[in-house]
Amino acid sequence: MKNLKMKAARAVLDYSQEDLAQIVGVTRQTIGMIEAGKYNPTLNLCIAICKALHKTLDELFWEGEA
Amino acid sequence: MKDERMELGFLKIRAELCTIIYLFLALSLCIKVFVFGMSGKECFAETAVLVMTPIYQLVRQRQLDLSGYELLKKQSTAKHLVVCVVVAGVVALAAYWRFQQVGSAAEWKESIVFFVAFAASFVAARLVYLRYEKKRKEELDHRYED
Repeated sequence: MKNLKMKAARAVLDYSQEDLAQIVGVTRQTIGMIEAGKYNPTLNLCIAICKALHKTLDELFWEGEA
Repeated sequence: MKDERMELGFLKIRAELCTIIYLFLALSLCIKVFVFGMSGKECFAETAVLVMTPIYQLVRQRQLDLSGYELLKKQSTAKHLVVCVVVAGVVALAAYWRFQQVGSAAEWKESIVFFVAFAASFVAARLVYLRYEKKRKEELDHRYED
């Protein structure tokens, strides 16, 4: 399932996939794959992404209504 | 850059590669013993790797607090039975073929004895491993319980 919340949060901060990837220390492809729902990140990476986008885990990764 | 997806991907590839190499070594051992009639001494490299690999795995499992019991239990016994029957069939055919080629039983017997001894110790080691892993699982359950 696509992670549109993460994409939206990234867009709000005007970060490109490359910017976010550099902040959390992964490749751009990994960010792209997470957003496309093709890769399940580890909890550590989820937390790093949440910190970078100033969101909580629920807001970005919980599939129900957060 | 330490990308977890790439790291996991490469680890997976390396693990698959190791499994393939391991199986090829087992195949190599069979071919050396049956086709070329080599003795145990001549197959030292294959034997050493086939024996040392599970030992290394066991040591690392112990260091990382892992128990393979649940994984082993999940493996289908019916599937294993089919694999064992197929392997035994191939070995029997190879042994028969070897016997036809060699004619005299002396050299042929040495190969068979080596192979049977190796297979028997392999099965025995697996049984011991299973029992050990069961104990280890219980020990770990106990150590990390509430």
